[in-house]
Amino acid sequence: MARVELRNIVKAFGATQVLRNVSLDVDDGEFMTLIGASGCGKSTLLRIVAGLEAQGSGSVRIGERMVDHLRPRQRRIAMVFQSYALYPHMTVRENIATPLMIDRTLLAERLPLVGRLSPRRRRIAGEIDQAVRGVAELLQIEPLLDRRPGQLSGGQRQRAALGRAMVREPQVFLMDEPLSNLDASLRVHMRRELADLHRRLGATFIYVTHDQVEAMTMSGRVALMEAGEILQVGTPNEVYHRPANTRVAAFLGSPRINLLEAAVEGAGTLRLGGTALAHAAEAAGQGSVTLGIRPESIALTGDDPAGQGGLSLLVDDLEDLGHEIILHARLETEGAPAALTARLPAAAVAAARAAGRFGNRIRVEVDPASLLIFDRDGLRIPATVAPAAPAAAHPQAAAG
Amino acid sequence: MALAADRREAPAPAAPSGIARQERVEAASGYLFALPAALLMLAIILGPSAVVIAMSFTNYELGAIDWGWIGLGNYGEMLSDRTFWRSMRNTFVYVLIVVPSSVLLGLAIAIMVQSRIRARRFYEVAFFLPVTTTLVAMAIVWSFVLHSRIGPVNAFLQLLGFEAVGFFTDPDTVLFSLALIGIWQLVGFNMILFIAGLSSIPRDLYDAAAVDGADGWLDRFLRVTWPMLGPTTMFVVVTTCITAFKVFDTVVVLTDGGPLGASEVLLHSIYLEGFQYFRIGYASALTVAFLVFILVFSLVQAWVIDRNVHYR
Repeated sequence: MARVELRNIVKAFGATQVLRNVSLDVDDGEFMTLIGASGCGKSTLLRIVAGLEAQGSGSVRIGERMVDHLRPRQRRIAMVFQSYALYPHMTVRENIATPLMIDRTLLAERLPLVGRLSPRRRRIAGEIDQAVRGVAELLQIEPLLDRRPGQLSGGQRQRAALGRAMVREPQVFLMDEPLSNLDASLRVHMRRELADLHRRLGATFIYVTHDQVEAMTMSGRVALMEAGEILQVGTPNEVYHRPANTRVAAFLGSPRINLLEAAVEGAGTLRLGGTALAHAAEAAGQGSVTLGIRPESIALTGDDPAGQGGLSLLVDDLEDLGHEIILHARLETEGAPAALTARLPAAAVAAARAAGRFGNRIRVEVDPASLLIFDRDGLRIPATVAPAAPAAAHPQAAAG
Repeated sequence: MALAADRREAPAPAAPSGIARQERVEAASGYLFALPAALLMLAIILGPSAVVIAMSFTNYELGAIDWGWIGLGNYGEMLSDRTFWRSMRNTFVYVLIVVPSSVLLGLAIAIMVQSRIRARRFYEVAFFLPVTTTLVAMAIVWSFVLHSRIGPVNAFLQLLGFEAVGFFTDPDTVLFSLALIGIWQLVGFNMILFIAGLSSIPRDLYDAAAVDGADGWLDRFLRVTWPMLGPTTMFVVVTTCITAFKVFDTVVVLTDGGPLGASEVLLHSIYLEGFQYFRIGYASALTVAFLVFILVFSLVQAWVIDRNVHYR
C-alpha cells in the first residue's frame, strides 16, 4: 500500500490551463475523493496520477517512488473508468485476466495461435485462472465469468471492471466516476460496496466524482476542486460545516446554501434586512459580511409572539418531497428582496398550517450556531456565533 | 398457447365491425404505399435477374430470330469449357492477391495516417485519389508506366541491372500486374473505411489497455485495435471481394484476356461470349454462375466473420 504525493502539478491543453499548481497528499490506505463540477480538472489530475497524461510540470510520488517517468503499468495502480472500458470481445474471465497475462507472459506467448504452443504460458494461465476465480468470488461474479460485457447489466459490468482492477493487487485504485452510469438505486448499493471494498482491501483509493453524495458518504477526505485548483481538503464533515470559502460552501449541500449580504454593527451584531440575526465578535469591524445559511438550519418560528431573531419571509414556492418541504421564499428587506431556500420538516409545516401560521408570509428563525460568516473576499471567518444580544433585538421587536 | 389464442379471439366479437374495417383499410393502404418501390425493384433488379436466369436455359443468340429452350445445356457446356475454367482460376488468383493485400495495406495506412495530426487530411486525399479516378483512363496511364519497352519502371529496373519485365506481355506476370493496379485502386477506399472504424474505437479502451500493461504497439493492436475493427474489417473484406471478383476494365483496356488467355477473367469471358460472339444464352449461364458465386462467397464470409466480430 502506498501514499500518493502530488507536488505543484501544472497541466495545460493548448492555451487552456487545466491544472494550476495542484498539490495533494493522499495517505496510505485513505479514501480520497476529488470532487468538482465538470471541467474542473479532477479527471485530468487522476489521469496524471495514472500516467495516462503527462503533467506540464510538478511531480507525482507513489509510495517511495517518483513515478513521473514510469508508464502506467509500472506505477502499480489500477483504474476503473466511467465507461468501465471492458474489452468487448473478451469474456469477463479474460478481461479480468488481462493485466496478469500481460504482467507474467512474454510478448511472444501472448500472440494469437503461436502463444498457445508455449507450455510456460499454459502453466501461467492456470495460476492466473486461480487469481481470477479469487477475485470473482470476492465480487460475487463467478457465474458471469464466461459472458461477454455486452451480455451484462450495468452493475455487473461495474463489478467486472472492479475485478480487472483488483486482480493485480495494486497499491492505489484510481476511480473515474465509476458509478455515474448506474441507475439511482444501484448507485446507492454500489456506494456501500465500494466503501466496503476499500475497508477490506486497505488500499489507497483516489475517487473522482461530481456527485457530492458519493463524496460525502464514502470518503475519508474530500478535495474540492474548481477551475484547476484545489479549494479545500478535509473530511466530509469539515468541508461541509467549515468550508474555507463561499465557493466550497456553495458547491456542497443541496439545495444550495443561502449566501446573503449582512451588515455588521458595533461589536459584531449581524443584521440581515434590518433584523439582528446573531452576534459574532470576530466579525466586528468588517462593515458587511456574507452570511451562509444552510437550508436545513432554517426553522419555522414557533408560537413565541415576540419572534425573537426571526425573519419575515414571503413564500414563493413549495416543493413537497413527502418527508420534507423545500421552501423558496424572499426575505423582506429594505433593499432588493433576497431569495432564500429552506428545508422544513413536513410535520412542522403541517403543524404551522394547522395553527394558522403558514400563509403567504411566514416567520422563520435561524440557528445561530450553524451560521457561516464570510468576509468580502469570500473567505470564511472562524467565529463563534451567538444569538443576537437582547439589546439589539428589542428595537426590531418593538418595530414589528 | 391457449391463453394467447383466447386473447386473440376474445376481442373479436366485442369489437365493432368499424374497427375491423379500419384495420383492413390501413393494411391495404400500407401495401399501396409500398407498391411504387416494389414495382421499381421488380422492374430494375428482380425482373432483369429473372430474365437472365431464364435466358441461361436457352440457346438465344443476339439478333437471332428463332431460339429454343435447351434446359441445362449451357451449364453442361460450361463444365467442359476450358476457357471458363481458366477464367475462373484467373479470377480466383486475382481475388486471392488483391483482397488480402488491399485490406492489410488499407489497414496499415489507415493506422499510420490516423496518428498524424496535421498531415492527415493530405494523406487521406492522396490515398483516396485513385478511387475517384476513372479506372479505364488510369489503366492507360498504367499501360505506359509498366510498358515492357518504353515504361519508366522497366527503365529503372534496367538501370539497376535487372532484366526488363514484360508486365502485360509475360503470361506468368500479367495477372500480378493487373492485381497491382487493382490494389492501387482499392487501398484508398479501404483506408477510408478503416479510418472511420478506428475513430470509433473508444479512447477509454486504449487507456484501460495502458493501465493493464498493454502499452506496446503490438499488444495494443492485438488487444484493442484489431478486435474493435472486426465489423469494419468484415465490411471491407466483403466489399473488396465483390469488387475484385468484378475485375474487368483493366483487362479489357490492357490485355483483352491475353497473352494466351493468361489474364482471362470471368466478367471478361461473359463480355466476350455475349457481346463479341453474341451467344446471349451461354453468357447468361456464365452470369448466373458468377452471381451464385459472389452470393455464396459473401454469405459464407458474412456468416463466418459475423459470428466473430459482434461481441454480444
